[in-house]
Amino acid sequence: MIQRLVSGLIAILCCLSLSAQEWDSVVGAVGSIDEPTPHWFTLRGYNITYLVNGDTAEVEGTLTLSMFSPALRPQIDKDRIYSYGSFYTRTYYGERTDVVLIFDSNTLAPIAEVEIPAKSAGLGHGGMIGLIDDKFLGIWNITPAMSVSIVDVDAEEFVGEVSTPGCAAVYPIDRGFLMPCGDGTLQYISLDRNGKESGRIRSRVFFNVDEDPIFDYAVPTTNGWMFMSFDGLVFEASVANGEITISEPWSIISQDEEDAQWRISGGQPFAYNAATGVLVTLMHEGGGQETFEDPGTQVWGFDTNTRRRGYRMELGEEMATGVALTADAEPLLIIVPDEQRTLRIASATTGRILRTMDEMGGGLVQNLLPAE
Amino acid sequence: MNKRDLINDLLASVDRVATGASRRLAGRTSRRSFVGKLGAVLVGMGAFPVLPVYRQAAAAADIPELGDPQSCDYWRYCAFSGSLCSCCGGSQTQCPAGSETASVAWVGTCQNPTDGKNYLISYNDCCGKSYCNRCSCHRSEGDRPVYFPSKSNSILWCFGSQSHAYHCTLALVIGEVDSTVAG
Repeated sequence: MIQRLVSGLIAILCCLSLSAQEWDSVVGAVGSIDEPTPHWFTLRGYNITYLVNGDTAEVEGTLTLSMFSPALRPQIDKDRIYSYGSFYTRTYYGERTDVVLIFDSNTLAPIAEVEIPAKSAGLGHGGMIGLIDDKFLGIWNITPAMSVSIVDVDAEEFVGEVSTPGCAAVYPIDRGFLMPCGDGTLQYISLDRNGKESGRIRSRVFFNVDEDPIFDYAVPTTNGWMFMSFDGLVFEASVANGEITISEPWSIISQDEEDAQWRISGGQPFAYNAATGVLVTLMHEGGGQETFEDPGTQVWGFDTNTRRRGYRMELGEEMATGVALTADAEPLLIIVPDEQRTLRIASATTGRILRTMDEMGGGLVQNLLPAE
Repeated sequence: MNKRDLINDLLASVDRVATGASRRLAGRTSRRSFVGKLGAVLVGMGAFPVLPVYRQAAAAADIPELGDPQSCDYWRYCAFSGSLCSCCGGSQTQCPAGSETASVAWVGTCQNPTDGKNYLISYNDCCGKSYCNRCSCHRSEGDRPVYFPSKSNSILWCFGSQSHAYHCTLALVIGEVDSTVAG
């Protein structure tokens, strides 16, 4: 009897699909995504990353990652998005394989992978993976020995491993990358055309890890990278003529007595937009340096040209774990809630909330497109 | 054994398990945290940093102690970050059945309120199973970024185990801190 009913239903559906084209296909369809704009960003969730259009506050697609895949590295002009991950044959145990994951940025389907040493850092932020000179990926390893795996993305081949004791993350400049180090310096490792190390240099000592360390998180500037210390000092780093230049620092904490009670914190505690010079920081009141990962209750917006604060945005009861800025000349400010709650999208220049998204939160935000 | 001797022993042990690591590097290796986990408060820790320790360096504890091992307030957890194994089918000294311990762990100094003494506590991860996600305790005093891993809780610490899938963390008493060198 049931078989007859099912057969009848299938027959009806087939007839309907033939006679009325407005009905959906009974098996559904698979889409692709639109051309991303500079206002598109990604938000890392559990084993998944959402691609979001910041102008509509809509999820445009997702990428499935491993539970040991901290970040992405898009290369949209080549229709690719890279990540990496660790996979076990039995999910949590069994044989481990680490790979660079290569996705088609239109279909969001995995199209290739490159095996790398099973040493990649399973937690972290965007600094765990860097696209170097549009040619190589650098993936930070810790075993606990620290190193960087280099992958040629054009050849889809593992090139080799660079030992980087005492230094972490991959922040690309030209055909090389910067790394903050525990001795208070930055290290720059340059690569040759084949992706092999061709040299390494160190900056002057510019911070003390015991007194006021810099975050291991950094954001890109026009010529290099911006670093921030736990106590709110801003440093800009660049590489030229075989030297690493560190700018003289300035503080986001003014001499104002009330300001002095505030601290920068969060998983993604600051963001910078080079096109406008806007810097935003996630802030909370009270506590010592040990609160550097705490959620924030306010977002402060600065003009880095004048080094003055333009706005303080009160976040209310929903604290935030991260802030990000799109890279265009009319940047959006993305504020990530500390739990699976409401993500806010604001104007970076005014701090005015433009849109919100429910059931979004907790993870790393990255831009899909780099600065022009 | 005083604190300095113990530190030297711990660093020498870590050198053996950290493939390719220099002695200086090994000294910077640190405890870990998993998704959502934050740092650790080091009550009475003073200037003594969290240091890596080879698991076999742990010794049995036979000291007077009071408190609930399923509570974040338990004295051994002063530098803890993660899920308490005592809430996951194990105890503060034993990994839950079916998991495995990491060969590198981390040490904090905690004061035992029962006898008023400071003890070195080794925080060993249990790995190879999905995240227990019970009794999560997160503190972060003294925490540092990942480029200084000896004090960083932002790294996944299941080194030396077959799997680096984090399950929960132990808190082993591995020695008394010599009061003459206590930080």
